[in-house]
Amino acid sequence: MRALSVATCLLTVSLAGAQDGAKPWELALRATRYAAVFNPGEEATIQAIVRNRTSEQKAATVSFEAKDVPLGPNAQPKVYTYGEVPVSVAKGTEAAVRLTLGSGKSLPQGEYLEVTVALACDGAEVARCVKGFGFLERRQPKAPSEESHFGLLAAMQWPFLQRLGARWDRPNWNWDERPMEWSRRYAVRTVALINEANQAFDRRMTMDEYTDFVRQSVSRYKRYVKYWQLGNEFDVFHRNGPQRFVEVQRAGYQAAKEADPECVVVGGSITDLHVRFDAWDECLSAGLAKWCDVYDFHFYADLATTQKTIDVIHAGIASHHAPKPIWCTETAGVPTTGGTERNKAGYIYKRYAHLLANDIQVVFWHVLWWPHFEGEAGKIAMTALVDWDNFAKMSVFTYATLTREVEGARFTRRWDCGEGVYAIEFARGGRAKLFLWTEGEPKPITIARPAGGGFRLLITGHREPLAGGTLTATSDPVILDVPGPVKAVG
Amino acid sequence: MTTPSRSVALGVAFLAALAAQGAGRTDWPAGVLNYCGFEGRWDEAGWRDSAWMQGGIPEIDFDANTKVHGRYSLRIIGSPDEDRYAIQLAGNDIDAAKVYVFQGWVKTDNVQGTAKVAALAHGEKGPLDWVNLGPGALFTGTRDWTRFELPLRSFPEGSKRVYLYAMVRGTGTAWFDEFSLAEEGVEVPLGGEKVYTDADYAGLRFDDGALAENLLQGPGFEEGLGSWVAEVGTPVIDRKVAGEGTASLRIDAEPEGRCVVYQRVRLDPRRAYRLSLSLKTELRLGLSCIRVIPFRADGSGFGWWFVQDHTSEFLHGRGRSGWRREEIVLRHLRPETDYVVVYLTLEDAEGKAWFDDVRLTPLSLAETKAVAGQ
Repeated sequence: MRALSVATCLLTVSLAGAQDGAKPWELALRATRYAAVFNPGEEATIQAIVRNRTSEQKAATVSFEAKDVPLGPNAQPKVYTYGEVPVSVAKGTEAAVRLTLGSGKSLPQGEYLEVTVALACDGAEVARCVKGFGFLERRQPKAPSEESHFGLLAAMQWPFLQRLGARWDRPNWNWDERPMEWSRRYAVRTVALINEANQAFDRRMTMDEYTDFVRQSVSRYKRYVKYWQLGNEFDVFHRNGPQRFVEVQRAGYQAAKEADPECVVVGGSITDLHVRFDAWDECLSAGLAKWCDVYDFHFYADLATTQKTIDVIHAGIASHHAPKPIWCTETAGVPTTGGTERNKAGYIYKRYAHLLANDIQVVFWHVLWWPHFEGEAGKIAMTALVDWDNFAKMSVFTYATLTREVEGARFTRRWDCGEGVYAIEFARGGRAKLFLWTEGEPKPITIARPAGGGFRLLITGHREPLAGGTLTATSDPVILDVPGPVKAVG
Repeated sequence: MTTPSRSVALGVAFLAALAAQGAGRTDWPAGVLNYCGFEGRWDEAGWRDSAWMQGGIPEIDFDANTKVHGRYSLRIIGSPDEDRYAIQLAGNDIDAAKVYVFQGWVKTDNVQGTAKVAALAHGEKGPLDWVNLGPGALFTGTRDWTRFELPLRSFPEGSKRVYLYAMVRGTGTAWFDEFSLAEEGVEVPLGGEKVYTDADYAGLRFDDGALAENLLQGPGFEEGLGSWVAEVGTPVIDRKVAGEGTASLRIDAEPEGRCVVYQRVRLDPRRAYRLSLSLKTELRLGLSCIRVIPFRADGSGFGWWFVQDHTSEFLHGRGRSGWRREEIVLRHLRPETDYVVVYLTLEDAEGKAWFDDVRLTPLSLAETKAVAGQ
């Protein structure tokens, strides 16, 4: 055995009969902590499951290497730890091998790392797995959730949400009490999504049944839940939709306020408003402002379309003299269900910078984890931060870096650097947090700023010193953490 | 977006949600891929009008006065200038080797041109060709409600999905109602919903005269875990602290830790059940509870998982409390329920909880009717 890190054979168990066409050997990885995200300083371990389905050969070797993931065009990953361990697995059995990947002393903290595990038999590789992992500290919230912009559709893994810095969750509302208690304990505010509003909209439920449910829910659980959302993604595209939508909002709002006058009612979400912009004016004309405390939208379109949509939303609010906070309780990358993880992770920076700069107060990323469905529904897993096997994707570290850098910051300005270039500045404690990327070709950008050390934060969470004042904006967004305010960008 | 997961919140874009809705529903008879009664709302079973992106048009709408069944039908008033139609936008996964039957009702009033129903086959990468439904898919002139049953026998090569249409080309008015797509030989009841007979109930059949007092094995833990399985964590058989008998099950909780002990119980889904236990808690943080989750015989669950009252969590333990007896009646199970899993659980908490004499007691059919309010 040659190993920089410890690899231990834990146990063997018998397998069910091999199916026709099964590979002789199989390799699977299991996270020993949720998402394989560990406390800083803790030893990072995973389990490799080696299955010998049909091979007469017992002896095999599990090897691994843990490395970072640089994003530059010619950058080479740095291997931090590696090791290998022989295993003996009889035909029809499996063995679990613990792989120690390293600790906070040997591995970078707060950034996305990958472990590649290979299984070899008779000197030939027979299986290989690549998974993400890393280290993130639990962050005890210092301010109320109401001051945070960062939501995530999760409804699970509360301690992990603290590692991510998520402060809002939007579960499908039910009467399971334990998640409510965890939500309160971990200071992740629940926005209870009452799907019965959609049933009332569709007349699958009577208005009385719906309002009774809202009244009962709010009355029964107001000690846990203050924020209630009345429905998801209504059909406001048909001309009779907005009127019906507002009617459902009115009934639910009145029921919720009867049960708890202090509660906050988030209006039912409207998605893809760009399909028919007139729907927004029709909602406001029907009196929506009177029947919610917050407007809510979902943004899944590209940034240019999203900008047009937000402009229509603000214009409608202005013309109806109906100002209220605006939230976005769902957003994801473009394309939503395709593309690469790197592109998706980039959209975490892009979406938040773009939406917060447009006076959207709270933004929820869709989603922490998505079930393993077949077909179209399964493709939505692309939006998830954690994969089906419960390992972190790159975007875990994007989200955690974003929240760490921008929590408590305020939007200050958007710099005009030409078409397709986004330079969006936030300020916190004398430092500027400048989001920079381009939707087109890479473009050199010069940044004039006060003297002092600066850093560039990549979507992997990697933090590196910022040298000089000129850098190239690419489709991979970065956060520049520099002394502020920035004097010029161009 | 909306997901049937119990623990993941909703969401994704509108069309994706429609796609998910296209999946087979459990309340349709087996073999039915799609059923739409056009009951007054778009997106029912994935159906949309062709004009939805323009906000819809009154010429494609629902009609409460002219219908075969239910509250509404779909009415399309034709135009000489454009095709007007509704489409089952989510599509239906098919096995091209099978024969399917597209059924429904059509009524026409002075249709000059054609009212028609159609099926478009798609492959992996998009549309392939229309499926030949023959002349029975075309309707002209004026006729009262007419039943159509059109077999889909032959699909273009590479067909994976089929999308259904109801259309008017030309002038005049057509009404459509009670559409279904089903495998050949499958009877589709009017209204679409499966009618349950006693034979449709899964699970076991208990005799009212010989009902067991408790379906759970080893309820008092005197013999250790016995039929209970520790799914995660390290439960303790406590022989010093017991609510009944000489032992109990103790879970020592710690923050972020999990301990779940479960037992799988086959039962008679026609009945209500009384779930009860003796419980003692010394909890500084968190809640213990019993979760009950029903399953079909093939091990699949029921989407939202809830048993009743919008939850699957019952009989919570909290704070410091000496031994007490708690109970709840589970009033209704879905007919397809073959078994339930009863979980004793204490997760991400601080302190201890003791469980003892856990019981799942079937009620008589008369008692079941009474608790169900029938």
